[in-house]
Amino acid sequence: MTRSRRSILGRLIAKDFYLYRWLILATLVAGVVSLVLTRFDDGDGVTTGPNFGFLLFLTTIIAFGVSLPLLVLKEHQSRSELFVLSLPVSLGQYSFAKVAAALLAFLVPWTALTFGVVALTALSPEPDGGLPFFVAMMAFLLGNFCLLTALTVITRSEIAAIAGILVTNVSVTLFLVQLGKIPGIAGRSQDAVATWSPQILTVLAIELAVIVLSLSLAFYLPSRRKDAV
Amino acid sequence: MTTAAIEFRGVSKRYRFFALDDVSFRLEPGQILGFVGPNGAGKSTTIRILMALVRQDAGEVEVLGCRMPEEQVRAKWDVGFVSEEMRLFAGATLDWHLGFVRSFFPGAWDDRYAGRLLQRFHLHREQKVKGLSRGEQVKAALLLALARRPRLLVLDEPTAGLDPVARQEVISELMEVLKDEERSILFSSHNTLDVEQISDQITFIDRGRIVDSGDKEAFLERWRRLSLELPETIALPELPGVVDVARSGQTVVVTANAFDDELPAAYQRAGAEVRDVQRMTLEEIFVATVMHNRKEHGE
Repeated sequence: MTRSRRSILGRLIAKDFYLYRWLILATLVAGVVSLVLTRFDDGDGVTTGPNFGFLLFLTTIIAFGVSLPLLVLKEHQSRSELFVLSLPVSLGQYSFAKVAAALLAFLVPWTALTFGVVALTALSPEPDGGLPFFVAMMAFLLGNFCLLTALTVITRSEIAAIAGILVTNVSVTLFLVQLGKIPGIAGRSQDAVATWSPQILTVLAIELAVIVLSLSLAFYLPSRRKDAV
Repeated sequence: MTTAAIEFRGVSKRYRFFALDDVSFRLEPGQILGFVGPNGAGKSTTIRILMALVRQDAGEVEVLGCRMPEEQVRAKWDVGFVSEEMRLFAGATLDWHLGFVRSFFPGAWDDRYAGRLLQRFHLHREQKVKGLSRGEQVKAALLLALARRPRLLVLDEPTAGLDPVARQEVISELMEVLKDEERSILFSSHNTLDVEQISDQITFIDRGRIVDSGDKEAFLERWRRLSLELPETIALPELPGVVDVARSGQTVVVTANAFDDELPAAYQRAGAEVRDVQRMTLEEIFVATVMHNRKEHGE
């Protein structure tokens, strides 16, 4: 990649970060607030705080993961992309930068929240047994975002995007229910040490494969497109 | 031969319900080409191919000596493009847009000129795009294209949807820009009044085909409408350069696209009385050209 190409991509990605800045910040704040809420457990079996916190956390990440691909689609539909393509930018560079910017934007709160939770849990005296569940869930949410992004940038269709949102959202509940039944996770949340069983490692490997495949398609196919409009 | 600002050679693009068919034209440096056609004629498709937004199925396109779409990034350094359908980012301010475009053209960007255009167009840096009227958005897009001092300006229906005052402001600014004789402009519109004001070359397009092309003054000079009085018993002779004859009783209206003094003389010799010879407006010429071309193609 030449220096000038890197520089063009950098400017396009910076542009998207500017446009997404409040969304990223809001996601980070809502994520942290929801994690704090999960700590509000009065110790006598009342779990309203943790439940609400967990739901808010999930909703925040899912909503963020849905918003970014929709913003990419909106730029195409509102014809703002014509403005960008009037600059010394090729369609391939533009498409690449859109996916890269959306991915990096998603990774900012995702990484901060995932590694924040893992680090705090590992460093605190509390049980680490729930970590594999948490990591698999976060990887699933990342995979869902990548799938939805790929679907949106490849089809550029609102109907396809809505269908993708429905399917990925429903899949979260199904996934979490099934994940809770996997040996090595079921009934291990209060274990002092996290158990990374072969089953959980298999789940993570599948998630990784989905992420890599989705991103490959999202980066490759739109950059081969001949027509912007 | 100098490098053309734009050169299309046998360019075709096929869609399901529309085809751009064997389009060829050339825009020389410093010229202003009015690209005129009815809605759906292929103006926007041609410009999309020119800007590498769409890839042609056949034919060659060169912009400032760069082959399109292969060398589009190199070409776009010197091209300013404003389209009626183009939108700026609604949630961002004009100042952010200025900074964004400037970052691509650090050497060419003219900050003082941008400031002057802001004043002239009554725009404010702090304004968010979503708060701008349609006319102000067009002016903002034009400002962003002009302040980088491009060698070629491509304007696709920039005045569409503007009120008469905003339209005149945009046209006036373009006239100002035209003082730079090195800059070439392709101005696409179905509004012949705008095109007539600023263009020195005219190309008509209809149903995906170029139907006529040439110097604006030559266009205006060679088209005439003649009113004749002719007894109904006498047939009107078929003369070269006549594209339309409308006869009602003794009154005949002849439209000619290759008028010279010989034409009225020939009608007089045939027994007609020439009542009037009128120059035609570009709009009348455009309509007559399109209708004549459709008739020739049996459409």
